[in-house]
Amino acid sequence: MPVTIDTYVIVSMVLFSLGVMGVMLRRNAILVFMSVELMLNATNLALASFANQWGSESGHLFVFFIITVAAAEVAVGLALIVAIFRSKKSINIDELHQMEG
Amino acid sequence: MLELVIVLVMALAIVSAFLMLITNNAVHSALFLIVTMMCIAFLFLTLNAPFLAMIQITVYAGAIMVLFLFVIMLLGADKLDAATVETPPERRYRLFLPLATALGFALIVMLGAVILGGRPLDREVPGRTPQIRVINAAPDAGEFEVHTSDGVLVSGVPFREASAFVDVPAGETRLLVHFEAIDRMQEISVPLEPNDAYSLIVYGEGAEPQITVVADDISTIEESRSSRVAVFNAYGTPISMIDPRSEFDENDTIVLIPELAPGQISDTFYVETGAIDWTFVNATNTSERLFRLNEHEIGIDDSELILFIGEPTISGANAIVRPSALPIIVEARPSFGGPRAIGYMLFTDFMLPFQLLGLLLLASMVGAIVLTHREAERAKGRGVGRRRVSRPLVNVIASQVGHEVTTATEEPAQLPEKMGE
Repeated sequence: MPVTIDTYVIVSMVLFSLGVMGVMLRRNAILVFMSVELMLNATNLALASFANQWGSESGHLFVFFIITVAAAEVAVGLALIVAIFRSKKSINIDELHQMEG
Repeated sequence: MLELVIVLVMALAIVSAFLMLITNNAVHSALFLIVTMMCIAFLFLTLNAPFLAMIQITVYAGAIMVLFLFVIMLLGADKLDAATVETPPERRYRLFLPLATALGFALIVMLGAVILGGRPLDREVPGRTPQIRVINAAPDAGEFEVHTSDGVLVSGVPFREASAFVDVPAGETRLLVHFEAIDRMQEISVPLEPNDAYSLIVYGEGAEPQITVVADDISTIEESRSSRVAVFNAYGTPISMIDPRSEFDENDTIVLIPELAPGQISDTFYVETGAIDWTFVNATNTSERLFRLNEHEIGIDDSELILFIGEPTISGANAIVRPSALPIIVEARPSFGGPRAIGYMLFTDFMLPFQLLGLLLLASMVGAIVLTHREAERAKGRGVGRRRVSRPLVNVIASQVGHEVTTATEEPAQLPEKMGE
């Protein structure tokens, strides 16, 4: 079976869909976060394969930036989760509904 | 073989991502996500992105997932979704024994492969646009323009100078050189191939300058930390090049190029970095020394083209043409996807986004501190305001009992008010 750019993009799509499923189905806020990380990883894979296809390193730079943004996002997100856990004693996202109208 | 491994790793990435979703234990989820990230790092390697693969392992699978696991264990959130059935530790770990053995064996195999001279994955590097530069080695040619079918490519290159590299589309290309000063046109047709760099050399004395195109591979080569030199003869007569190793013994020389006809380029020499003392001699009479490269410095990863030219010393009718060497140095192009290539792009085209990213990281650091710090400050303020007197006592009781004593705090707090009445 020849491995082409299509294979990489399909794998990236599958991983992204699994990440979306995780965000929508899981109740644990940390698991939702990890699913977001999975989606970012899938995007990175697609960007790297496109960069390889076109012979341009700009895609690699975007992956580099996404990894850095993910690190920043994790720092803030986990701080939020810790703060929520302190006040609510739970990180089940179904119990966080004080912002509904 | 490699294709099979790639497909297996892709399957492993998808399966472990799926397991991450369905498992109930948050710690197991994090471990499965690490497996997926490792697989993606391997896929980066197969996509000619070794730097990204390393970043993926150290930053993502390392730093970020450590943070995740730390928070999971800090909050005790590993069993929040559903209570897992407790099994005795002995039985649980016995299941892991074959897995641990296999992983340890795999580690030994990989370390052995690295120690016994591992090589990077042999994947085809994507083709880059061919580049071309123009070198003026003709003292009497004056101003000239180089045209392609799309228009002017390069113009106004002074004598003894080279233009910067210009990207040109691959394929058979007709290059037209128009000498304005002596009103002369010359044409050359070259098949430009991807990944190659070309030099259009204008050379020759008098009113009939010649043009030629030489291919030049300036991409980074396998033997890192080495430089390469090629010699082009733009002089009137055939030359030969020797390396006079001793200053005093005439016979202790190495002939590097036996004979190089005018308009020819030599083979490429791979040299150690440092100084070279090569000497150009007349090919027919080797005792006639024409020019000596005196302690010429060769830098790391430089690709150097040395043009041997005749340089007129006095302008005018009685010009004396003196042989001279003109080194054109260009730093070798970094390999695709490597740290040097990424670093080069970061510091040139992507400098502003990089700075903004630094600001974003600073903001997120401040945000993380503020979010986790506010709670503690409020608790401290409340303690100072209302329970100033009884606070040490409550602390002692709380530390003895092991949890907050809520009923005990109320009564001592009201005590001073009653006394005041």
